[in-house]
Amino acid sequence: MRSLVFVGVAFVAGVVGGKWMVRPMIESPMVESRAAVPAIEVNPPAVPPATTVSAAPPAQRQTIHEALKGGDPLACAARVLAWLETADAEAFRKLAENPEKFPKPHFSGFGRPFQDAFCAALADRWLALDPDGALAAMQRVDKDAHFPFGPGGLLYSLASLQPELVLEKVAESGRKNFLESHTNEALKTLAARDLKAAQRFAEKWREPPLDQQARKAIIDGVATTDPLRALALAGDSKDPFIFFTIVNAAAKRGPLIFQQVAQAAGERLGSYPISPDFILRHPELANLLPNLPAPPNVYGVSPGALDAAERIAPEERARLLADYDALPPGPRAGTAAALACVWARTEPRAAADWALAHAKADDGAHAENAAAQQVFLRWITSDADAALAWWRAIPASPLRAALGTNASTYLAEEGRLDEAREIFKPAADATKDPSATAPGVMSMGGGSGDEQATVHLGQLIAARDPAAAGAWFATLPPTVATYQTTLAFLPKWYARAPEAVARWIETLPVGMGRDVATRTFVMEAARISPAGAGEWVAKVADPDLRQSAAAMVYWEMRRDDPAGAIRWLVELRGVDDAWRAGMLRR
Amino acid sequence: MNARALFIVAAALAGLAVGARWSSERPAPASRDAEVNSARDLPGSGASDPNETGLGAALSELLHAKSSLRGMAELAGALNQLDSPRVALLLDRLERAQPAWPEQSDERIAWLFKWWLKRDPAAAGEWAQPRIAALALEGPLGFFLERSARAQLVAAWARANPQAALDFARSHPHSGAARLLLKEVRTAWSDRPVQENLAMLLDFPASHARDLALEELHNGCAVRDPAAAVTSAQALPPGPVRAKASAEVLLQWADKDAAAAFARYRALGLTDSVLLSKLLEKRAAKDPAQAIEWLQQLDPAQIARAAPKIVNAWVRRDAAAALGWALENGIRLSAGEEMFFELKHDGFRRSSSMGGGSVSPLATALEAQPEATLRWLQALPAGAERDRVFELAATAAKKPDQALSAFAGLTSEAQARVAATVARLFEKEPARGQQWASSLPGGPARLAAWTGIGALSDADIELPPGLDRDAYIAGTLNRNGLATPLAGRFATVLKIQDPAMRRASFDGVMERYSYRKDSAEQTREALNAVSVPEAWKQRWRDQFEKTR
Repeated sequence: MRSLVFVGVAFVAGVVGGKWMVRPMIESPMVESRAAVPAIEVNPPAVPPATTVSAAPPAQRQTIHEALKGGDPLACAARVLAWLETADAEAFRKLAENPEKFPKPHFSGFGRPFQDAFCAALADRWLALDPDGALAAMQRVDKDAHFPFGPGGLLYSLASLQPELVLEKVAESGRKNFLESHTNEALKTLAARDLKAAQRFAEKWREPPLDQQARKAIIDGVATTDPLRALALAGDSKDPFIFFTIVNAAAKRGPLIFQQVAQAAGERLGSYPISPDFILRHPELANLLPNLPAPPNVYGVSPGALDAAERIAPEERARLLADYDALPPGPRAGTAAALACVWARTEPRAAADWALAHAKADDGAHAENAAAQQVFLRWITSDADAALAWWRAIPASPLRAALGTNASTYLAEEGRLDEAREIFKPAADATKDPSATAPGVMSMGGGSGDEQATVHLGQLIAARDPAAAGAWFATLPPTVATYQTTLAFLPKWYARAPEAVARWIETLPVGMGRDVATRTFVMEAARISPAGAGEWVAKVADPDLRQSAAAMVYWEMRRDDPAGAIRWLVELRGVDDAWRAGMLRR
Repeated sequence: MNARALFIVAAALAGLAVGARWSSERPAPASRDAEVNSARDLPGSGASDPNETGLGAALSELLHAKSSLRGMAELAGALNQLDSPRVALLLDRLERAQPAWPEQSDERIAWLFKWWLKRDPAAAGEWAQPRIAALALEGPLGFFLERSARAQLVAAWARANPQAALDFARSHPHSGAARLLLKEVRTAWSDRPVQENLAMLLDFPASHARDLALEELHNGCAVRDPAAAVTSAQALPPGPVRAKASAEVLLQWADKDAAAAFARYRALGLTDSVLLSKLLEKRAAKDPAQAIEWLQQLDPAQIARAAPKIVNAWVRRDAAAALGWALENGIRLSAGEEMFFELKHDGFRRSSSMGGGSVSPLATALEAQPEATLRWLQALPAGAERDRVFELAATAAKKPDQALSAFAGLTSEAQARVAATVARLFEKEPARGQQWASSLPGGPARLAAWTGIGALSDADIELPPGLDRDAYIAGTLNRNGLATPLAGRFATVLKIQDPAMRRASFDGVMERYSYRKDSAEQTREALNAVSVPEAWKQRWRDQFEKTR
């Protein structure tokens, strides 16, 4: 019995010892493991360095350019390896003679990975064959070869293999305002395994902004192996990209490390690094986050967030949505929107009801309306009849109006103009912040969500019938009857029927809408006949808009008749003298 | 060593082996992509199964942070070992491991899918179905989704299965996926007669996807047979698609045979001034006389809109004739173009584009035929018209010598108006510019020239006190847009000694800065602090009150 105990103890000790022998190689932050897939461990493929290629050389010697021909990157990889095996220093010297014609692989699907692997293999082999001349030659090639994927190139790839060499021999000491990509990559790679060495090299760059760039590269590198240490190095940095790298590296290392990083970072994290994508990739970490503020707006749902939401099981999705209030406030709206959008693929009504119940009905532009906006948009573009019936049935509110207004253009684009106009309900309340942007609307063109939808709808109506767009403009509230809206239809209408536009303006009620339309008319007319357009300036009632219309005429007139333009402006009535003097001074 | 000890050693060694193996088979939770490397849901475990070996090798290569050529070369062999369930598993893993925003999606997924599609179309198609369905519920495909690995694999599936793709698109006609699928179906069926593809599209449910496909189909037809393409476009139901398709086809036709395109435009009774001016412009580049002949058949408004573009094309071939004709017919030698502003759906967002420019036949002539243009200018008869054209030439010129040649022929009033513009042509020759400004007689033109010199970047010079220096300082206020803080601008204004010029410069600065809503408070503070007469400030305070 005692012997059996000894045998058992020895076996258990062996198991522990065996695990100890192998695990450090996998867990060591210094070793980038590619050994975690069991099939590899059982029968690991031999991966010798590129310089010791053992593949049989092809029957006929190919050039490197020939080796890269064809659309199959995997076959090309084998051919390039075969070329490298027999290449000599002279072959590389010839390649470097004309950097613009240096081989640059570009394979669909494997574009970036192939370029990096190709450059690494070539740089490694070149350096082995010509230790004295290779680096300088590579610098010349990188400068003029224009590799398609950036940052990239021979030195960039070499920086991952031999960072010290790159930092010592080719890293420049800051003639420009940015670190070269190979310097950045070398600092990052070296910092991941030897922080002190990387910091010693970084002393080359003491002046801003290069010092900050070197520091960031080092933090990025350290983050991959030791996120907590990277956080300490980040200090009180405000750069959200630094924290983005750190939290993602921490998340990969598990909840414990992540929690330590999140606690140590606190409010320094800000709202950017903890994105909905992040929460959806790591839902288990959602309750470990500090109480970060919500961003003012949520710009739709990113493809990455949708992908991540798609991979969450329906039960887990239901749990996360049921615990909506427990989600961290920063990424909450975007996270819920992505989950609700995936839910809406199978149960749009239920998802829309949930989103409505968790939205702010009295504030159409609130960030927490993202789920309602995004679900409704998906529903109306896939089953417009059902979505419209739902929209018609919900009680009137600023939220309902915002949902309808934002979705109206999607209906209009499909030719359902009457229904688009039915659900188009821009806020008539001028006290709302005009710069507020509705969720899901990116304000590249400026203006509020309502303004953008108005311009867009006007454009879609005008594509079919510009006069109808004019009639529709006359019905708009002042909040959206803007200059931008007139640009949606008036220039194209004017180009085809200027007299009709002039008659239409006369039918508009006196007010700001009429004035902005008249000013746009003046702008268009001035291109054809500045003098004729000048006669319309006096029809603009608002003094500021009138002066703006006069300025349009004046500048157009000046293009072709500077003296005549000055005479016209001097004689113009109904404008402020100081304004006139300012115009004449320019 | 006795038997008991041997047993113990053997047990320890066995344990060691099991431990090592166990450890190596476990995912490394702290390593990169630990979550995707997890072996828990891999089917089977036999190392001898080539499927398993292949899957492990493929995953190892594809999930590794940095690929190697060796790894890629070996990937081909690993992939060939896989059966379809393993390929599906491999692609699932890659999808799951895709990098988070802002990294791009992993395009290798699409490549591998295409490879699989050739090898086992049925299995690949089945794997793609839920992804196609998901894409169809994402509305219009925006910038990111259009370029995603998912869109690429859906496109590949559609090219390989056009009928199934068409059927799917018909069941989701209002989706962005329908647009993508129709495009791929047309590519796959590009060898079919055009009429067959047209009938296919006309039978497709009315939708934005169909509209775009019809436009693209006609554009493609125009390359081979533009006459037939116009006829076909005109046979479409009335509406924007017909108008747009017809216009695009006519423009393509005009590149090959402008006369035929214009004749068809007239025969169809179209009234699209924008299209017309583009057609005429294309004709003028090759045969200006005929373009003018056509132009004269139009109404005055159409002539006014189209003529500057025709002259602009004509001056490249015969500047004197073109400019002479323009003057005779009252055509503008410099005019603004129609403002372009467009919003479009970008997924469930909107993106905008805008533009607008100008067309200046005189500037084009000076650039394309400088000597002929200058001779034409010199030959103009004296009078107001000559003065006007000379002034335009002085501001339109891009080279200092041309500008100076025109400048010399100007009245003193006109010289004062254009001197600052001419001075800016000395950007690369600042010393010559200063010499030119110094050579001008005292008066408004000389001061304007010094103002222009002052506006040149990197032209800091010290001038003796006086009006030239004041004008130069006033010019420096035009550098750097609004990047310089207002207080800094005021400090410059206070260096100007001439009271009238100082006041004008003060007002000029305030005019520019008072429009900045984002820094209104700083503007007010700077205005309060600057040491100028209160009367100067009052106008701007009044304006602040008005816009508050």
